[in-house]
Amino acid sequence: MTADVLNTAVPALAVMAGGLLPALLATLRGRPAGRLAGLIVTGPLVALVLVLLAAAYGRPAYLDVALVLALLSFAGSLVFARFLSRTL
Amino acid sequence: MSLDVLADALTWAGTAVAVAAGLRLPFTRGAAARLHAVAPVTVLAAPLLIAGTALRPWSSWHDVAKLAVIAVLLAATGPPALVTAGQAVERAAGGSE
Repeated sequence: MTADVLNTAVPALAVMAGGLLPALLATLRGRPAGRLAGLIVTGPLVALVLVLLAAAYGRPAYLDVALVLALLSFAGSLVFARFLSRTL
Repeated sequence: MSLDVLADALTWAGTAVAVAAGLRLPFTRGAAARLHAVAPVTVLAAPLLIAGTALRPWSSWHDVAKLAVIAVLLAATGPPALVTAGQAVERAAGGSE
């Protein structure tokens, strides 16, 4: 990776982390149905953070983690939504 | 417009959309409104940011292919997850009333 990539990806990574914290907060607080929205958005946000990490520090292995997380966060969201619709 | 400028613009646009949705979430009341607030992350922010990242020089085309798969996965799975969650929220609201 060149220094130019570092100049873009590292600040974007820091800004993205700033958006991730409120999403985690929304996952931890409120009614179960409202927290589900926080859970649904946190998975893709973490996947995007991992993509930016891979670009910022030149470690393409992080892309594999982001790929698996993108798949598993969808499955997890479906499981929790199904669970909520059955129990509430 | 050079490729670097385009990559920067796409990356920052995706980051801005994702961060705006994340910041809006704690201040949104109601589960359905929250689902609406988070919808742009997978549909808009992820393809924008990943397109900007993919335009950068990578060591192998495999990495760019992985980025494309991640973008397609996020954009394709986001709306079904939101629709399923919306149905669950509706059932939960109907059950509590």
